[in-house]
Amino acid sequence: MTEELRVLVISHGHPSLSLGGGEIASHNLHKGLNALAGIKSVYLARVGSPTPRHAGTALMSLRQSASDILFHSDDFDHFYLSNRNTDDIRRDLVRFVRDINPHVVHFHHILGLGLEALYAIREALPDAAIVVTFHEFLSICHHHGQMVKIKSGQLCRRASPTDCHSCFPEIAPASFLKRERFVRSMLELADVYVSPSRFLAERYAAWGLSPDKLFVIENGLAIREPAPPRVLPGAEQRRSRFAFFGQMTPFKGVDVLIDAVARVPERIWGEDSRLMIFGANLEYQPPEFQARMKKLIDDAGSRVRFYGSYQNSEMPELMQTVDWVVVPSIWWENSPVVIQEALFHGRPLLCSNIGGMAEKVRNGQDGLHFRVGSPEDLADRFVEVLSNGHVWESLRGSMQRPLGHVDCAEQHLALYRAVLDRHSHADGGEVGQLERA
Amino acid sequence: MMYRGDEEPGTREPLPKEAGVTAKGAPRPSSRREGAVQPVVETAIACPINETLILILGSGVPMNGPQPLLLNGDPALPGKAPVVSWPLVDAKGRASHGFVALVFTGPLKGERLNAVTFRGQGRSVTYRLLPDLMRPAALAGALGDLAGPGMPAVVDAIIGMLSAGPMSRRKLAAMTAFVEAGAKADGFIEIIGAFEDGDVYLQGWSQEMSAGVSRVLIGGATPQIAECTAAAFDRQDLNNNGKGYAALLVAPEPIDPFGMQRVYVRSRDGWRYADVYEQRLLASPRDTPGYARAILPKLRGSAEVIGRLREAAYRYEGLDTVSALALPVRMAIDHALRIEQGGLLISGWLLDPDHRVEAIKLRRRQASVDLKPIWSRIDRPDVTRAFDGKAPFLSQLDPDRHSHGFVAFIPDFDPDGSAPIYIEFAIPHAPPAYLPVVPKRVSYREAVTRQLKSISARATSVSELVERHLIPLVASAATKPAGVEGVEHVGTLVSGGADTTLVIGLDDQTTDITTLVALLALDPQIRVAPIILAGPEQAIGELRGEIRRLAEFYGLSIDLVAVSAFSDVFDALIVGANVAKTDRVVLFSAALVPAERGWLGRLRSAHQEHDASVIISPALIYEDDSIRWAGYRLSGEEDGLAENYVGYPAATLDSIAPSATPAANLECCILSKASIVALGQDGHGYLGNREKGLDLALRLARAGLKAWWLPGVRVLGAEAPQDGINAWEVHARSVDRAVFTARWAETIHAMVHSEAA
Repeated sequence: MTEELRVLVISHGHPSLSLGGGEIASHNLHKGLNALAGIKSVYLARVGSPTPRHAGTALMSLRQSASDILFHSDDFDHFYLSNRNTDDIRRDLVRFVRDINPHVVHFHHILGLGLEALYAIREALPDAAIVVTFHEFLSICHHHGQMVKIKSGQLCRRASPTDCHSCFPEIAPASFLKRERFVRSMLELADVYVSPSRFLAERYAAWGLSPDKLFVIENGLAIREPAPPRVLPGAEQRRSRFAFFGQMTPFKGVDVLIDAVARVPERIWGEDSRLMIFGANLEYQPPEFQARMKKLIDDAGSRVRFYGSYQNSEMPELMQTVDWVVVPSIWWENSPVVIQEALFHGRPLLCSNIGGMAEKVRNGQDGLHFRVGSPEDLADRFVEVLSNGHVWESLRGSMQRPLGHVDCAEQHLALYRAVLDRHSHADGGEVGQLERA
Repeated sequence: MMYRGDEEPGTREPLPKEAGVTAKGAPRPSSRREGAVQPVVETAIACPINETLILILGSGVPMNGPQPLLLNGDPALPGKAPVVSWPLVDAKGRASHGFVALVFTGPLKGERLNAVTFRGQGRSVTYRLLPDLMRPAALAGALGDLAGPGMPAVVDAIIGMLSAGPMSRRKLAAMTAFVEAGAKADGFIEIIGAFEDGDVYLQGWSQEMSAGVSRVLIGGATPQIAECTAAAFDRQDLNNNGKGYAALLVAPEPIDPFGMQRVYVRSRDGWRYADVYEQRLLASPRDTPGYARAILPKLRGSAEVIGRLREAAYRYEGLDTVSALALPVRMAIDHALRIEQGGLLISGWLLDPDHRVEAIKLRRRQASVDLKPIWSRIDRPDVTRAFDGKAPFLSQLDPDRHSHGFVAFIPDFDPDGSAPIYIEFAIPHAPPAYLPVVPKRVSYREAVTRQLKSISARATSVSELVERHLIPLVASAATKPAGVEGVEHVGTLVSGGADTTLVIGLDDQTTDITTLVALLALDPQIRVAPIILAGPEQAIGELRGEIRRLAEFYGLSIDLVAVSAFSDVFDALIVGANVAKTDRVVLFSAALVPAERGWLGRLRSAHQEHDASVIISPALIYEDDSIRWAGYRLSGEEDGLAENYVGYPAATLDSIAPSATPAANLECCILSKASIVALGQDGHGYLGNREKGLDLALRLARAGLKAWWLPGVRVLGAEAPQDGINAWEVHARSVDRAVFTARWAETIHAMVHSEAA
């Protein structure tokens, strides 16, 4: 290709406005693409209330860089992942997309923008390569895309209208059937799908997406320098500082973590150990959960410190004060950015033994696993690593390097080119031509 | 006696000027006294009563009783006419008597009656009818002069003649004219009390009133003959110059209390009439019994008469008198539901442990239905508990007997909701007690739903109740045919050239249409097809904004059809199909979900391979990949029509070829527009969609449409929320099954046998 390859990356939120792994990953991709020669990437993120919008257009800027643009969207049906404001899509989104005329449109989320955006862009750009990256199971699971059963908290292995109805008795199986058909049929308009973890990709294949269209590309990190190990003050020689980074949602297992800390015997925990919780968005959680968290933290006394939310740019600094990173999620997880960051900064991990976590953290090499949801098992891990100082060193030596954002962009680029090549070799170019039976 | 214009003063009608001329130009025959029968022609005057009855006034020899005669001298038209005659006051010539005869002209079949010939007693006399006719009032007036003191008897005889046979307004008008002519005024009617069933209660006074039972003639806007039961009472204000009376008038047709102006009574010396007093009091059915009760103690008369008037005094006044009874009897109505055709479903409880009530009747105007033989009882332990030991059931109620509840369905009871409905309790040796019933208008489906939901579905009496009341209710239910309320186009315009329209039926459960429209748009064949979306007015009204937005976004051509008198999705599909402009239609219930692209094209190809008299349905699959519908087969067992493979894994269909089926599935099918339009709707009632759909499919089969199903084309249909197994659902299904079987068992049986042959 002699001309510049134009890419439009679409996300459900801008990382400077909303915290979340998907936003960071998508923005890192965008930056990575722009660092490559011959590529021009534009980043479009959804924004919604309480941010006010322009009256005459859904597009806005909020003084972001010239390659970032925002699309205001509020009329979103969370059940069907559908945007009721199709007028804005037709008038503003499609116009914008036609103007920049990208070769590739890469959706990093449908949330907030709606599947209709995918439809409209496919209609407007029949020859473009459309890629969809999945960051969780939202297309499959109405329970926040977590695939965790509501009543029992048990992990869910497979969705079906009847099973989903058991989690949501007020929603009929017929509605879940419609959701499944609608979401999948719309997604099938895309050319390929990307998942940061094999685990997630396999779930989507089981759900019905064509395995030929599913690709695994890790999220890329855009950090310059790894943080040096924590400076051990004087007499203290143990690597005894544990940290949790992330959103304080019920799925992140923070309560399991605090419970585990409380179970470690005093003589093992000692004076130097500490759990630091860098947790965001606690105030958006259900009131009972907020109350419970506060109580747990209080009861844990001096063992636990709660530092509230943080900016992603602070991470290198925060990592300096940390020896271990704990990822105690009780849901499957896909590829939590905190794992990539811990790998980058050489902070061994303690994580639940399921899903994307177990995939990204090789047990005994990148960190140690514990049984999901089990404070006793996590407590055992604490005892193990606090009692054996060499574990930390050993793990640090065997931890893998995560993917940088530019390398990640290159991997994506290869995928884009493969898709575009296939398009140009196909006859005609009708919609639906590329679907595999 | 013959009338001559110059001879008779005082007649009220103009008489023919050519008096004395009989046959055209022929001289007046003289009377002859020969032995041979000579035709004698006289003239007579005709007074038509109605199209087939004429009174004839003439003179001749005495005749009484029925006389044989010929119409227009035609021996093929003999008849008999009642005749009354009287000695002439002023006899002239041969004629000694005047007569009036009532001639029936039916056999003439509309031809004019010109002459009657009386034959008998060795003579034959023909009376030619003068062309100018006389009206009854005129005749009545003339009679007064002609008959003199014999007038009352003549009038009586004429009334008697006219009373025979079917009564009509004109007959009554004529009778009134005759009665009126000689009647004398006597007293007034002061109170007219209406009753719901059309009887009327009167109170007034007269001098010559006769107590007892007699027939009276009501004059006014609506003349009527009524049976009158009257009793007398003393009134101080009359100074012994008359008596007060209370009377009950009963007639075959309801009596009009407003139009009543006077009442004619035959007394000893002729007819008398009482006028309705100008300041009369007109009482409504609520108030009339009160008046009758007030005067009851003063009345004098025979036991039968007093009994009838007492019965009138204790009629329904719109009040609940059961709840205040001193007797240990109580009743309450839980619901009274009036369905479309006027059938009534009534449910409540009756507590009557001592069996004090002889009969319990549901009443409306003159209709009366005895409930005890027809109702079904239901256990109501709550009623036992509520009244145990409480007044008026002071002794303990039997703790093991709870069957106080009742349910009954009475078809066609209240055709138009225009009269009060109540329950009448017949209690021996006591006046009746009453309980008002206020029905609610509901659809037949709602009535069944409410009834089933109001009782514990596991109660043992449910099956009986279903069989005796709910099945007949649904079987007799018929609704108005659905129709087009309005059509509106949204989205793009289809450029023409399409030969198949997709007709989608919504129902009142449809709340969102977004995903369905999107899935249609994602299918390239459907994207360019004309689409009709039909549904109940309310749903279309709520969804039209959304549908318009989606049609514009996806570039679809959609006609929105609002359906009036909507009952179920099939109404929407049939009405929608009527609006289609193509020869072929695909029907699709909005509760279904397309499973794969190209399904419509494949149905279309299959339909094109056959001729237009074919209906084809795809297989329907449940949301869990098991089979929901895969055609039927005729079989010797199981009511004759068995479903194929329902519940089996969808993969079962992989090895099955397209096959014929006795009936298709109307929820999703392709057929010619003409076929579905010819189906019409006669509004067969069912509770649910299953049997309704099958009913329609069988009607199409009966009309000659061959049905096929395609295992390779699949459409999804999840279990609808109300299809879930809950107890009342089970009963609703059994109702539909029973109603369906009653309607179709024979046809299916014949289908099984003709296939076996």
